Amino acid sequence: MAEQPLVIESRKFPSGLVLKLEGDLSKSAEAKLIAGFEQETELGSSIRFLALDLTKVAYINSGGMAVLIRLARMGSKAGVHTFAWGITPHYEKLFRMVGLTEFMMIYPNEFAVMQRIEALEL
Amino acid sequence: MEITERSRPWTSQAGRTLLGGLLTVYLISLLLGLFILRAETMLVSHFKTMFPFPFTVNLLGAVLLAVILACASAWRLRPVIDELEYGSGAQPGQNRDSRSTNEALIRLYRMPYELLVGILLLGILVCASFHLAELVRSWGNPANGDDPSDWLQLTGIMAGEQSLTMTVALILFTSVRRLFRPYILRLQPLSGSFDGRASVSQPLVITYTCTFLVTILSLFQLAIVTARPHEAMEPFKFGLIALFYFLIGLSLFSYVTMQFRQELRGLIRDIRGLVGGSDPRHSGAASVVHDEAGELAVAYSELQNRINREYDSLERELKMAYNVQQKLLPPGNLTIGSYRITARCQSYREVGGDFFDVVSLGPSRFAVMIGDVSGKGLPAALIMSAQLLVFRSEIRRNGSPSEVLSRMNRQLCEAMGEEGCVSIGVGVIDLTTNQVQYASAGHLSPYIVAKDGRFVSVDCSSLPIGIDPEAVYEEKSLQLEDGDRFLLYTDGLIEAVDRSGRMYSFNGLETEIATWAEAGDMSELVDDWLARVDLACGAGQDDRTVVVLELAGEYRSALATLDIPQGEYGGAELSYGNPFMTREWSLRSKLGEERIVALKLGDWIQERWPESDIKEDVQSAVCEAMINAIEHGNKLQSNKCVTVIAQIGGMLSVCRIYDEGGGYYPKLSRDETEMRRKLESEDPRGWGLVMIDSLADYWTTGRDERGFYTELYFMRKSPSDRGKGAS
Repeated sequence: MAEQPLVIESRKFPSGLVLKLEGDLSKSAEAKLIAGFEQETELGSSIRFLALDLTKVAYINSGGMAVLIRLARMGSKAGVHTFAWGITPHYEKLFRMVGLTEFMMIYPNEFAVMQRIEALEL
Repeated sequence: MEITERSRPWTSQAGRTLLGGLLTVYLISLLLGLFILRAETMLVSHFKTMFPFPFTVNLLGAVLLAVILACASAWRLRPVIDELEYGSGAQPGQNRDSRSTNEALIRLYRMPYELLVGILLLGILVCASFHLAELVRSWGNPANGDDPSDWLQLTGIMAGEQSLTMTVALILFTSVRRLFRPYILRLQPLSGSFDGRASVSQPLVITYTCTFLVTILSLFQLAIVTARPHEAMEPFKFGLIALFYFLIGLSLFSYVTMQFRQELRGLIRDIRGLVGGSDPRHSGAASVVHDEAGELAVAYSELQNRINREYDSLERELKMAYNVQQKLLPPGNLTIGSYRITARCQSYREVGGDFFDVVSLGPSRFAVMIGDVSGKGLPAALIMSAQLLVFRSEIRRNGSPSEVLSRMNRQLCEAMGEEGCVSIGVGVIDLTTNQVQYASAGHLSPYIVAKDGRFVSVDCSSLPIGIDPEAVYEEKSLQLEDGDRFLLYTDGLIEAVDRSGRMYSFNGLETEIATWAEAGDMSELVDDWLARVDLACGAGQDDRTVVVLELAGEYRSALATLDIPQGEYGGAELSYGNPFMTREWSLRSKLGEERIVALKLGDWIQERWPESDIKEDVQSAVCEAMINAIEHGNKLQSNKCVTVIAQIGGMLSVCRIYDEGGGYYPKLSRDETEMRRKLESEDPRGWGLVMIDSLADYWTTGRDERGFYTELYFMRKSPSDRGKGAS
């Protein structure tokens, strides 16, 4: 099985943006993911939360993790909280290993993420 | 249409210049003739009947004749003017019509002859008509006192007149030829062959014949003057007249000769331009008139082109030889275990006699070698290539460095007699003890430079190989410590001479290595050093080679902490040869390809160790090692392969990931500050090794015959084992 290109689907919710990722998350995803995020002009104003749905991401390597770190740090600088769900225990272990969890809060599913966002909004 | 045709020539600047030049030449030549006539008439009163018109009439006649000649020339030279006009307006690369060019050239070649013949005929015609008319008039009126039957006098006058006409015609012929020369060069067809019309012999013969005739006619005239019985002539006056004719003849000879000399000089200049030009290969063919001297220039040009072709061919062959030689040498930056090797070989010529080599001798030993063939150029390069291959074969046949040198020496002596002489230094390094067995055959003493910059010279030398077949080579055992640099070099570096004539010498080398305290990147340091030597001393007269082995320190993860069954750890190396326990995959150096191998490896782990939960750890760690091999080892060159060899035993799985590069030194910092800095950097990369270090139980790097590898060890673990470990 060759590398599956990353497909990004975005949708907005009242105070934030959900990015549904599908495919392989490696260095080659950087341009697409970072560029898409940089174009969002409402970062920090109407978009205060970024939620990543990684349920359909089967493979993440160190390059992909570097992209996620960059994304989460960009969000953090713009005052955006980053959340993620749908991550396997193995990748969660790797995320902790590289310190990604400092910038990105990981929850088991979308519901848990939204609950947390609502709590933060209050 | 007619108007257009007529007006075309006058629009060309070159055409106007040509016609203006012609008019000037005509005027000057005719006025010169008039001046000679005037001088002659004043000097020799006997010839007062020669062109017996008032000076003003003669002057007006000369100017009128010049204008008529210019008009006739303009008519005759129309093809030339057309061609010049076309040439000045043509776009670059636009080809001229060769027929019209040839027509124009023919006109330019013919014109001087036409003028010569035309003026001579005109002179004869005018002269004959005039004297005939005068004779008729004299016969009709005998009272005027002239004796019409004085044929001798008439012949003398006519000879003088023809001499004058011929002088003018000759001056015109020579001057017009000179005037036309640049135009002939301009219109010369590039690939034109030798044209008989252009031969230098014809004008040469004509001009000298005419000059002789002028002189003879003048002498004839003078003889008639002296032969007049009824008129005595003073010897002084006779001498003056003779001197006058002598000067006229000499001037004409000189003028004609000068013109030819000028032509010849121009051709010599052309030949020099062709032969000694900066790069005639790129300057193109110089324009030459196709006369004998021009042909000589073309012959020189062809000779030069042939030499250039030969030279180009030799240059190509030397470049190929250089490429072959460079391919024989190992990469300049290599990593073997905890050693980083930096080697640079600068050839003084296209091919050189210096060489070095690094050969892996199994998992815990490798050899490093440096050599210098005496002599330079191709012979030295051929011996160098042969010695490199002999060394590779001999060092693998086992034995100490001194034994290897002895065997190489015998082979070289047998093959070359006393013709080849090579200095070689060989070191065999034990990766487990960091001991170096070093032997030298006439090579310069290496240095060991400690990390604080202190250094020692290793004095160990014997005769170079290729001199005495029975030579014995001294061998020394050296111990390297962490951070030590083992430096090998060739004499081209030591003997480099700077602009003031001072040799670089051992002092220069020792001053340099004393600054190597806690050096950063060794390859940058060596490059900078050699660049400085190059700057100070230029390319020099000999090859310069430097090989530095740096013991970079501990790099593996803690093997001792592993709880590996003794038998299995010790047998890991051997089990790579067992096809039932080993699987091998190859992939192109393209990011993304690593996933396929990871999936297959994961399936195999699952199959062999079904209860274990390390499948994903193995997959991720091996993927990261493959990415490193693709990016850092093979530099993303897709024609190079990454090979993964995996072995799964009862309790231990070992995966080796090979690449085709020079190796890289894995920098892994477990320092928290460093990790934080990396995490917060603009480009947060370099997590691969962190992941490998965290996911594998043990890892190391090495080199063997297949290339550089990263080796990962995974212990068989199940969730229940982890539970026990945690409790």
